[in-house]
Amino acid sequence: MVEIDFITAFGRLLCDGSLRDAFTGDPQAVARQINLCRNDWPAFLRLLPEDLEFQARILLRKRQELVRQLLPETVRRLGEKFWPLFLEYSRVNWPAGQRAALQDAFAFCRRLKQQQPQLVSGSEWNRLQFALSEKHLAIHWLLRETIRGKTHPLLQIFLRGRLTRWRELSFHIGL
Amino acid sequence: MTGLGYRRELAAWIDSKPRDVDCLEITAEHFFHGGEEHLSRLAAQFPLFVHGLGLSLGTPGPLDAHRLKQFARVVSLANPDWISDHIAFTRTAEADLGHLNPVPPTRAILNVIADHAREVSERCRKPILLENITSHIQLTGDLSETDFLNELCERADCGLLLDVTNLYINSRNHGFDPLKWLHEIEPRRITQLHLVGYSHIGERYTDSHAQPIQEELIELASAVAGYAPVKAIILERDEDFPVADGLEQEIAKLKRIRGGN
Repeated sequence: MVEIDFITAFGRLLCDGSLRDAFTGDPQAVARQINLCRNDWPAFLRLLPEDLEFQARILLRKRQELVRQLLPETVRRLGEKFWPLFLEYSRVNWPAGQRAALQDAFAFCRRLKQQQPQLVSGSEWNRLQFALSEKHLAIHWLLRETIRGKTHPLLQIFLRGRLTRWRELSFHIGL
Repeated sequence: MTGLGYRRELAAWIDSKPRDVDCLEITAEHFFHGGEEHLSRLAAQFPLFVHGLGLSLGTPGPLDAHRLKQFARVVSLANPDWISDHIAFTRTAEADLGHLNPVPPTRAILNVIADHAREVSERCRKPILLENITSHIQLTGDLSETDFLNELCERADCGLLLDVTNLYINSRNHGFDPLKWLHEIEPRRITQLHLVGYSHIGERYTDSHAQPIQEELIELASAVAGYAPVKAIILERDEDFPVADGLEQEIAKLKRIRGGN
């Protein structure tokens, strides 16, 4: 296994709540496990678990804010449960790739759908699915979708041109 | 000069050309995917500075070439007097962390950041400033933080963007005297200041960029302005934007620092 430097090791700790838990229990074992470069052991072993967790939560709050912007209705339905549920999910899942915020929102919703599907906004779920797909067209009919506190049928049409940009047409029946 | 960080939410107020706003600092990443016309219009109205959030100067290995290209494109449109980014890392070889994280004050990291800062400066053909961040972790290395900053500025041949709020927050969270810290920094390197009110999470001080500037920060900033040849002071507000009167009051606080009264 290739040796890793301090910054890479520090980054792993910040991204992975399980690894932080292991570090709290036995930092030397974690340094061995991740094959940290010997020169970087002293600085690594001096990290304080409480400070690490605080810094990690700063990063999770940033992710939470991006997800909040993508899922306003779902977040409204979750109310005060949003942060604890997001923390539970995000502490051990880190999104990758160019569209990390979309991936993050999608993975959070997918998990939420397994536990409490009524809390996930159907229109937001459809939007995320389309945004992450390569489809050129998608049409969804939602019999009951809550918009601005009112429940109505909703028709969503998603269109994507040759480039990656896409647009959405929504028709709120009865609004 | 006094000014503020340009944010979309402040556009209408900025368009009204407020009297005390001499300059703007734009965030490079906000213009990575368009907005050229808008940026050119701002550049015609105000002197601009270009501030980066994600070059990740502290990550060992090469800079992200695509990101650097995007950054350089924004710089060429804005034509600022100088550019800046943080003494931090936002990504590793394995993950994008999405936000600024502290680096240990070691010679190895100093060399990484100095080389990266020089590369960015040469690519953009502009002087670069490096900014101190808030750190909730006190990392140790073979240098003190102030020696690290002085040597870094020397090696990278760059200036320091001193975030007064971050200095104050770190001094509170880690229990040191910010004035003693300040007087260990080579004054001629301090070129620009950032200021915004601090916040709290539990007992810790944090930099949510959402509060009016507190009086103790004005005092500290005044001490900096009396110690170093500061050329620009920028209000860095990102959340809970005040209405026009509130913004004018915040900018007036910056003017007070410049005036020294």
